[in-house]
Amino acid sequence: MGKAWRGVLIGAALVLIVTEACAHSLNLFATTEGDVIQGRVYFSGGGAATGVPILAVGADGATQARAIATADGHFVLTVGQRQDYRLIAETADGHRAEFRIAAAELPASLPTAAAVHAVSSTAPSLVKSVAAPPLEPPLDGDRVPALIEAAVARQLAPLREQLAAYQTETRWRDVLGGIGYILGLTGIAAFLLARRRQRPGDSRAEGP
Amino acid sequence: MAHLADGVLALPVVIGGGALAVLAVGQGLRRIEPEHLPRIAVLAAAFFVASLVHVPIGPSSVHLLLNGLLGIVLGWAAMPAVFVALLLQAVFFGFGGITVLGVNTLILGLPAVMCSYLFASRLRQARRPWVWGAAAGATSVLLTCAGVASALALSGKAFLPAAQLVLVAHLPVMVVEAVITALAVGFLRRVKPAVLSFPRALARPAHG
Repeated sequence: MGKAWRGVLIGAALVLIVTEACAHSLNLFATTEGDVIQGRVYFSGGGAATGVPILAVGADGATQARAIATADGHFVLTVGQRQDYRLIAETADGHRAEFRIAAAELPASLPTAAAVHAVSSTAPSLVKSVAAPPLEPPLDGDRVPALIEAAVARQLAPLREQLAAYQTETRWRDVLGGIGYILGLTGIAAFLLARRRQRPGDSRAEGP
Repeated sequence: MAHLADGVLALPVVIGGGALAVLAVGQGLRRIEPEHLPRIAVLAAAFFVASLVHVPIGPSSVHLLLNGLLGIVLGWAAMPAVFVALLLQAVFFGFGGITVLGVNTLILGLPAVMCSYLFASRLRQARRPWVWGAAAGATSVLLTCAGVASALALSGKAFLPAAQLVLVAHLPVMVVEAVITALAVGFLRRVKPAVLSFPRALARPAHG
């Protein structure tokens, strides 16, 4: 019985550490402003993923653009075609994250045909506002939708980033759920092993 | 980074690793005795929670492993414990991929078993068990890093850069693991040495 209490104490100590600790799978989040895709790679829990290469892969599997994350995990890519992109970040030691950018998020003014030069950006810095064109005195009807889109995208970006971060956060109930499963499997195993002991001639498979 | 994500490894590695993991976990299951189930559960839960304690190091993020302690106390039974804990981590926290669960189980579980063969019997008899505990903690992290680098290399990534990155990132973990395992082993030897004698079941499986 003493051993069980010590086990509980050790478990409680580890659980206290968890309140300080962070989860750590690689996550990628990105938004578009015009033809620029900007985003951030981070380890869930908040730590920035510095120097991680990010590729923008088009629907045909070809890499259209690449970038390297800065010290705080931000990156900027410029794409030339209006298509679905998969942003893939991969570290040398096995972390990997993907994020999809739909064609609908890119401006209609971009060509969809294949005759496009791939643009790559290797010295990114966080760009707060790129696509909003400078205001000219006569605001003709063509500019207004683009301005509105850019403004709305800017307002929404932090919200979407918070949502993505929230979804990848590790919560208490996950920890308790996992420990619950371990205890449950142990109980089932104990039951099955006890039954096997009572029937020594039974060749049924054992354990969970 | 000990938990490899989906999509990082080549398909033959994933399938081969899965098959080997099934064999290894089966070996572990055969050697489980009912009276050892509580400590298997406690250590599986500790391993499950341990990787939430993470340290961001440069471009990567590393976490506590505890597989040295698992190996010393559980022997081959560490394999099913690691498998269950990894599965729950993948489902609840999103650490590591589901497809590469077999490979991850081998990478984290086999070092535990190896440390058991290397250190468990010396621990039982030594005057200073904490020395062997520290050695087991450091060795298990070293073997885990070797496993990660090998899995990446077999999938076509350059071995040396990956190995260096993984190893350097895990040096602090090696130190911390050595300390934790040494403390745990010293404590167990004083309080309940019977816990450390479990790996005698390594000699033959409990159930035929």
